[in-house]
Amino acid sequence: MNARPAPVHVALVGCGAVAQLYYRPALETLEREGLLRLTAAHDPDPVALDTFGDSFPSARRLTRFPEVLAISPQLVIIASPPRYHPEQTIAALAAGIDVHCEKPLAPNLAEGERMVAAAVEAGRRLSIGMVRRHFAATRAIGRLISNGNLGPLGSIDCFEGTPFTWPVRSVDFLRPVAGAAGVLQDIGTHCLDLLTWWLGSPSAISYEDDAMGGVEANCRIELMFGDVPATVRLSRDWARPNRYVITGRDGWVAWTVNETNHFDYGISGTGYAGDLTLHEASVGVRRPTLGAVAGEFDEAFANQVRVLVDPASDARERVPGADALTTLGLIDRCYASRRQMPMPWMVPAWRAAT
Amino acid sequence: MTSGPIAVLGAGGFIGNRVVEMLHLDGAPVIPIVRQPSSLVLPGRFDLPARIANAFDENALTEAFAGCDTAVIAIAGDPRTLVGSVTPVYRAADSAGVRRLVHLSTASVHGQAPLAGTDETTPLSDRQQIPYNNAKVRAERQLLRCGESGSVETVLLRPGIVYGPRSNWTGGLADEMLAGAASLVEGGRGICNGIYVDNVVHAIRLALTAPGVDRQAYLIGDAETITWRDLYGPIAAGLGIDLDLLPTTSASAVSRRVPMVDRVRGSAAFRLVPAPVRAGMKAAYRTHRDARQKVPSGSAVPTVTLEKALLHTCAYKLPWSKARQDLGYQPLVSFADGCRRSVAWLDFAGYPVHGGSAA
Repeated sequence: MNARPAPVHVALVGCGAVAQLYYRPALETLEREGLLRLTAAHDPDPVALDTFGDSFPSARRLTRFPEVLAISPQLVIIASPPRYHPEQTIAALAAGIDVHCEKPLAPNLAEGERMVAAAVEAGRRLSIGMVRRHFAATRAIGRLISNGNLGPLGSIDCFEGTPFTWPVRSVDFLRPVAGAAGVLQDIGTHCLDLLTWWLGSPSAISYEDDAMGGVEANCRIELMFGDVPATVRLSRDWARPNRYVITGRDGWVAWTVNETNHFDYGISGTGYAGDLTLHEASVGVRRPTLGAVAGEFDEAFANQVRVLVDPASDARERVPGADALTTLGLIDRCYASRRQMPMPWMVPAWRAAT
Repeated sequence: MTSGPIAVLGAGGFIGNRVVEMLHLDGAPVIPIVRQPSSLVLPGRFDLPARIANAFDENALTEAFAGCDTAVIAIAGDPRTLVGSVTPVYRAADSAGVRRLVHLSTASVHGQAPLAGTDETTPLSDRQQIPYNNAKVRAERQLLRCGESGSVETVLLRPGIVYGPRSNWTGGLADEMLAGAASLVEGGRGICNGIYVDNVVHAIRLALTAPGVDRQAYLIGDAETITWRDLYGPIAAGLGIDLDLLPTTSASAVSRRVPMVDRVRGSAAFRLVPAPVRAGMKAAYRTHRDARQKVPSGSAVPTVTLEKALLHTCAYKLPWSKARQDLGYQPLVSFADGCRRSVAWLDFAGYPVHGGSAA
């Protein structure tokens, strides 16, 4: 019988909202399972550091990033603001440490390419936090598309948005300074990653947003995947149903954003559609049966790290940092070709009246 | 315009955001102030020197108001926030040397269905049936008390139903219509004391500089006298919904039913009933209510609150003659144009507007 491998020593960099809300419970779960041990957490803000660190009493609390490298963890999770990702990731890779970087990988494609090249040069693993690739629903939808179950696709329509309540700590997050993340870089990263994961690179793209010297709260992207048009509308401003609808000749799917194990599936020509809840497929039986309902969001989030620290996991589930480059390139193209969204009500009334 | 920067407290809200948009686009120096960084989403579309301050934190507010000549107070929230924030805001403005506060109150201080002849001279009551009204009355009184011992001038504006982009009277109503939850009381024939949001901002702009208006309150509204049916109409048309198919409720039925429910819920006897039994009673009530309203299966249940019943049966158009006389206020956007702008925003926001980009 093989001895259980020692837990992987992990350090977390950046104890802000994503660390506190998502990485903390994921790391607690994986620690309990004996798969990793959080040996250090870093944040320059002692309050944020203590808030996070209280869940991991044995982890060292470090306010300077070089101290993280000095203790030589096997894996560093970069959850700091995006403008710090390149510098911290490249330093960790150069120190011989594997890196898992929260999305977006980098503020732009050039920085992302530097990070991926640094991983190759150091011979270390660089992975990217794309939690939606770990949803049963997105995997199943991707397979329905690639298997041709929907037939030739006709249209793709994605709306994603809700008033922004993410507990950011600094006004810099929403100011036009280096590292500011508008709605395109934020949830657009998720959306474009899913579309390109399912469909490959688009052949054409056009983009408009509502920034007026600052950071966009709304944007609209038109893409062509071959001859299939796709519309993406993102908002941090106003809630509308968060739905992706993909329509093909033989069927359609409608997915509600962040539903990990559920989507609607319509079958053309039958007049029927169903709401599909995904289960684990049972193994070791003669006939296929339903196992447990597929994992919820917290399990998907933990799975991103699990596949890095559990030798028994399926390595194909890891999302390599290089996969983020396609999306970074698209975002660069969007900003480079940016047009102003039409907002006919915006002109002040006293100007319109004169 | 004023001689120095204009602070906008509550800049992340529907009206506060529009104040920022319009004043900034007009070239005025604007400083958005919000409670938390995430509330800067809309002001953040401009490159503005935003500041963070909790409306209860006098020290933080004093820092946020530093260097500002005037301030617009557009705080939203529960009754505790509406009233409790008044004193710290006033004191902070006083400490920071702000010359004038323009405080956004509401026409609801006169009730949702004011009596004929109501104007700014009509005495206010803080014993109304709607808690929001009482909070706004108390906030006004508290602000005037603060002004007795401070040096900051105060101007109170009382808009009615503020509609337009990002208003719940526009987007929220569209949501209700799409969910099958919209309804009218008495056919929506009551008067809607509406005002397009840009007209509110226009009044704010005038109130920042008008001379001799310290401690004055002003009702403000659109030029036209409209009904609730008029307000619903363009939104329904934009969404391709037949206004005549919306359910309509009798005001007398609502006014009898809603207070009874509230009375039962609030009674000491009801609180003594064991929780499982209470839950059963609530479920039974919901079943009874749903059956009475005869809503098609799968649709949301139209909700007719006391507030809505009062609003939809209003029989009086509030005057804004005092604002015209003292501030020079005259609505700049007509009701028809306000509706066109509102429907254009619905299209922008992703609603299925007929002929729009999301349809």
